[in-house]
Amino acid sequence: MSLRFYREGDSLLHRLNPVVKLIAFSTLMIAPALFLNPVVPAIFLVLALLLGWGLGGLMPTKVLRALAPFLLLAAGLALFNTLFYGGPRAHLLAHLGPFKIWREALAVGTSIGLRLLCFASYSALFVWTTMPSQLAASLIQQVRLPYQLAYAILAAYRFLPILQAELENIRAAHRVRGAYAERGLLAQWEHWRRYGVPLLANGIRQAERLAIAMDARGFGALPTRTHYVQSRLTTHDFLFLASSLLTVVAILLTLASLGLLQGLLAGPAESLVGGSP
Amino acid sequence: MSTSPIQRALQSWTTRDLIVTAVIAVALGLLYMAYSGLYLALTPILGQVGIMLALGFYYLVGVLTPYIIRKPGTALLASFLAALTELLVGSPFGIMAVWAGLVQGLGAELAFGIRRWQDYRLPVLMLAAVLSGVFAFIYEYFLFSYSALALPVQIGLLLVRLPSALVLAGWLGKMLGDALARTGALRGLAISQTTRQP
Amino acid sequence: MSEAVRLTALSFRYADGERWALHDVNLTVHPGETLLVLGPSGSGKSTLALCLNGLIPHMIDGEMQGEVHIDGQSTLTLHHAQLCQKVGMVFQDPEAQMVMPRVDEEIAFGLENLAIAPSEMPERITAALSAVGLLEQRQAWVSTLSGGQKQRLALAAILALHPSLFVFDEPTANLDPAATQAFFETVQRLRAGLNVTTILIEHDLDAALPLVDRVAALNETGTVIAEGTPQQVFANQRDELTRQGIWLPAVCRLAQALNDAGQPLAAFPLSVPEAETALRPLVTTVLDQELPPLPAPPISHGETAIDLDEVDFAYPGGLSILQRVDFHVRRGSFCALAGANGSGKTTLARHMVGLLRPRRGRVRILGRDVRHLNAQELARQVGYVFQNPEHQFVSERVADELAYSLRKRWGEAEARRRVEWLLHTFDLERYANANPFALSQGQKRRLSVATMVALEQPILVLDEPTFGQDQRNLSSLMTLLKALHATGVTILLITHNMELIAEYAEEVAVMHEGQIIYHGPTRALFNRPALLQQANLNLPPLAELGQRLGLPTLITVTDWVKWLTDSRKSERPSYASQPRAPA
Repeated sequence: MSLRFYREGDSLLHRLNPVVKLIAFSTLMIAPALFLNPVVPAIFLVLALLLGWGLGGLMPTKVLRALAPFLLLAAGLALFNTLFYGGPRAHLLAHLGPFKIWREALAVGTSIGLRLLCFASYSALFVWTTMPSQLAASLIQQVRLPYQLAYAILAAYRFLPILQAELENIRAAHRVRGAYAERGLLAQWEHWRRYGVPLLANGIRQAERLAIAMDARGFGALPTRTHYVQSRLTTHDFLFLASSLLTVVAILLTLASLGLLQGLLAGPAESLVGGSP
Repeated sequence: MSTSPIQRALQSWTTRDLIVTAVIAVALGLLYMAYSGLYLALTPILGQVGIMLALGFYYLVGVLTPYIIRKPGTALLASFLAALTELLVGSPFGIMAVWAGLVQGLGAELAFGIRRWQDYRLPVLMLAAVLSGVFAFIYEYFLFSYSALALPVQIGLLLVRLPSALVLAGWLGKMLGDALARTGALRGLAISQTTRQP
Repeated sequence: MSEAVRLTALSFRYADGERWALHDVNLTVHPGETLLVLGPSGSGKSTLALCLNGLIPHMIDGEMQGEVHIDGQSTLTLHHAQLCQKVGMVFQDPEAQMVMPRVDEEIAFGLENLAIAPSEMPERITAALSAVGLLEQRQAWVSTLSGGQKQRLALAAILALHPSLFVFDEPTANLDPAATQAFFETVQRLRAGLNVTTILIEHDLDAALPLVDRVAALNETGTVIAEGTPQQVFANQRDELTRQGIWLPAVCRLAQALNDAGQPLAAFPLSVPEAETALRPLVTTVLDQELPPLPAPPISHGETAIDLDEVDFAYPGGLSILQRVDFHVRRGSFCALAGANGSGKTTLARHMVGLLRPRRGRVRILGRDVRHLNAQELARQVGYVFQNPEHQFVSERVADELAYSLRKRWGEAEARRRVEWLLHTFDLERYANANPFALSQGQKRRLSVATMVALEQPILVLDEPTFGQDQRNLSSLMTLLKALHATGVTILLITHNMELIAEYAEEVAVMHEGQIIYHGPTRALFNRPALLQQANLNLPPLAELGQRLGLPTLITVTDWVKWLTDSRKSERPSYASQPRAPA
């Protein structure tokens, strides 16, 4: 059984310090979230693909395929924001039932939809290139997170495939008994109880067994602990972090100089939709 | 080594508390991902509102886990881990969901903190659910630029999640917690030690 | 010091428990010895293990009386970290012992906890992995290891800490025969090299007995009822043990049965070789006596209950799990489906209830293609009991659980009547209002079988029903199944427990790597040890005995006793005409 979430590799992205990656990627995700111009997230999305390819050895096609399931959701967000747009408007494009579609609204809607794809792509890059134990080690050693919390994270990684299999088994077992997935919101409550209780009861028991096994090997027995996996900050990390920040600034400055960058947190101005990407 | 507030809070945690929290968070994260499919499919029509309807479940972890473990920081850790689970299982919001988890957890933690982490009756659970929703709203406001939406819609997005939170997190949290207690799986955890259990 | 472990008047009660889990236990173990601890479920064996390693009383709440001394020092005075280093524990569940993603990290975990210098770690890890034969898997992900490998990894993880005492709490309960054997062989090898004391809690005595120097047995109130060498305990106190539901090694049971039948053996055997020696004189004097013949291959006339025709299956994007499987189960038979973990048994069985669809081929139940039946109809024909009974529970009361599907079919009054009957037959009357999840393992298993039986399906498939059951519960379950079979129900039992198959299944199919490599009478299978080995299964001890003595058709205690006593009477054994179970 392979770990879907982590993909083996030896690229630069794999070797970077996880906490640094977290900060860098978060910055790269927040930047597009500050603007309402669709050009901004579009550029950051392309940047994600290039970054994954160049520094991570991840084919852009792979990343795009991973984004495919979210297209519907992104479209839904775009649509919602277009229809319920509340900012300044000037150019009416069409009518959709009781709704009016404004050009400004469409631009904003698109930008929010694209934003989602940005979130998904940088997150994929992170998950695919970060080993859980590396993440835990860097949280403990760089961020000085109490080790108990880091191990809670590792336990979560550990139990994920186990609980996934359990849930499948429970579902199968219920089907065999003739307890079927009923539709409707009210039935959802029954579901949570029916699946949730066995999943949680079983899971909690396993958790207790694991806790005992950990205690039996001295977890928390001594006030300090040593580390097998050493997490370091190298020049690569600083360079990466610096470049990410600089890239963000560079992109934004370029866009600003092209006059494409009005619209910071507040509603867009008319010239927002002036240029084309 | 100086003891930070986090470390002091952690001293009351046992290994069992820690791992059980992780498991509950992962289980709920999985269940949420499994069921959010239905609601996410509705988003083309309902957009944000579709997600809101399901969102109550999302705050469940920050209510149920503290209800069982009853130590300071449970809501925060559990929400964080549930969000991490979603990241790993392929939530589109990815890392931003993880930050969202922290924010929501903070909201719930506030509710329990007001009562000094001693009171786990239904009103507190409801409060935790509501505060999770409110904090989440503030986070989303910036993340999804709610400012671009018409004002009534903004208010609607805040309000529509509250009943969902009350029912699907507050009330459901208590129901699930009690149902689990009846299975006997919670012996040895804080929830089983309170005498004023209804 | 002359004692590695000494328990003095040890009693313990859990914080929320009403009764004492352990009661006045006195035991001594000498350095380098291996002590086997036996007892029925609930006898406090696991509690004992936790006392040995100091988790009781350091980390687990409760009331402890008496003392535990490890290497002369009391666990009350030793620091928790010291105890963790001295005492290494391996637990039952391979899944819930590993916390790290990778093999080497898992071993490092213990080292990190005890603040071993990072520079020392790689060496210790290498040594530990070599000792258990997992060196090649050093960089592997723990989740890719088999159950057996995981248990050996758990062993390596404690080895790295250089303990002086091993405590094994049912380490092979979740493993198949091949993995069980590998585990004990590894422990044997380790014992030869290290001077380590071992305390082993185990049910599968046949595999473990070669390692054991002394035995102690607990009863259900946590008191020691027997202690001594295996000879002393199994020979002299077997009645006491049997009364407690503790299962003796197969050859011991044979010797006891022979004793009861008036054919005592000269020496009480504890292992197959010893039994061979003890029985050989008896056998040679009657070898001219006619052996029961090997049964002819079954003539497959009669309606079939389950048909799989050229079934091919793979999970999307995965390797092929089932390859052109042809499998036909006659109506009314009691058939076992055996195979090592990962051979595809469960996958195959899931096709029978419509949980999986074959990529190619056809599945028929009672002649009808599964594709043409909707879920309801299929559920009426085939019952499926899952390996973990909890997976199937849908309600909060045992009585409701049983009534679940009954009401729809038979109405309230009739349903209630049937529920009462089921509660009585399955010995669950006292628990009618209990929460199914709160029941004991044995009760949960009975309940899960009862819920299926309630629907009166003509076919019943059980997936590893022996999982987590002690012998007493197992016997009662099998008796129930036999009774059910006698009423004409077709039973398919998926298991890797070969003794169970020998005892109860008249026919068996063997799976290996997604194919059925044997399907026929059980006795004939045990005459083909090479095939069993290929499938990573083993011969049950009595069948092995039979092979060694040239008597391949004697595979159960009853077989042996009958043959030996009949032969004494100089009467032809009537195996050939012995009626088989009703078709």
